[in-house]
Amino acid sequence: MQKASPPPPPLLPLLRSRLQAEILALVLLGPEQEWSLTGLASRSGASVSSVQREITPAEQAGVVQSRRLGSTRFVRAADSPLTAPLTELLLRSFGPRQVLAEALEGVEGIERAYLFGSWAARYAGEAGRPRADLDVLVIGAPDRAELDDAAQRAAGPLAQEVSVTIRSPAWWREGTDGFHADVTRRPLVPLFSGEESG
Amino acid sequence: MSRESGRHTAVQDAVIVEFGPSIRALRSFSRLRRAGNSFEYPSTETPGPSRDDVHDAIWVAREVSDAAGKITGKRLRVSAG
Repeated sequence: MQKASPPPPPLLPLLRSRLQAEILALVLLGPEQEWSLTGLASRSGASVSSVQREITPAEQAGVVQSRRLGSTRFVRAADSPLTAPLTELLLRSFGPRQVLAEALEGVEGIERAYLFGSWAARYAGEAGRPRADLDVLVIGAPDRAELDDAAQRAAGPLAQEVSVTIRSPAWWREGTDGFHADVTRRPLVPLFSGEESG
Repeated sequence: MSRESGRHTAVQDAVIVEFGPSIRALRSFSRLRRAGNSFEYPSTETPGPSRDDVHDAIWVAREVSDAAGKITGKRLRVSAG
């Protein structure tokens, strides 16, 4: 009997799995960076063998290249006619988590940050209408102007508006309003590793 | 295009280009304008303003008003109430 495959990811159902999309996004959205398979496994939460299964067809398609250094295999984006359009598709679909994390990581005073709303729902596998704004929940007490500058810098390449909601750590722990109930009940995608998913 | 396109953006862009580099609070006007739009058109994914949001908006309004007063040479009043 054939093993059932996971359903295609609703953010870009052209791809066969979320893991494939995440790995391609990590490699292609940072074209100057070289990744070890272990590094990709660590970032995506998958096993090295799963990462390898996704990298091999990408390399065969010519969008990824690899080299060996001792026993370690390093991969990076390759120059191919498919690379730019595929990168653009990944940026518009899976890019928000990566681009927003990079934009916000330098902003002081952020304790936690999550994507929520429709993008997070699609990411979590819920089918639905295409996304409108990207909704980001920031827990902490950042400089609001600095945070807004960072979020708007990310909005440009993502070609989507970024809507940031700031709430205090006390609200996160003990909030009782309707928004707290909604946001904690629905999918949350952490921007930074080490935070739990909702 | 977004629901806010064109709304006050021409004035905002002109003011920021002219005075934004020297008056930081003016750059926060864009942030408040977007927040205002989101509060005005609520959805299940858009919460209303928190107490901190309101305090921040009052602070920015005061700063922008003071800056406008300096630029125009007139005193303007911002009421918190």
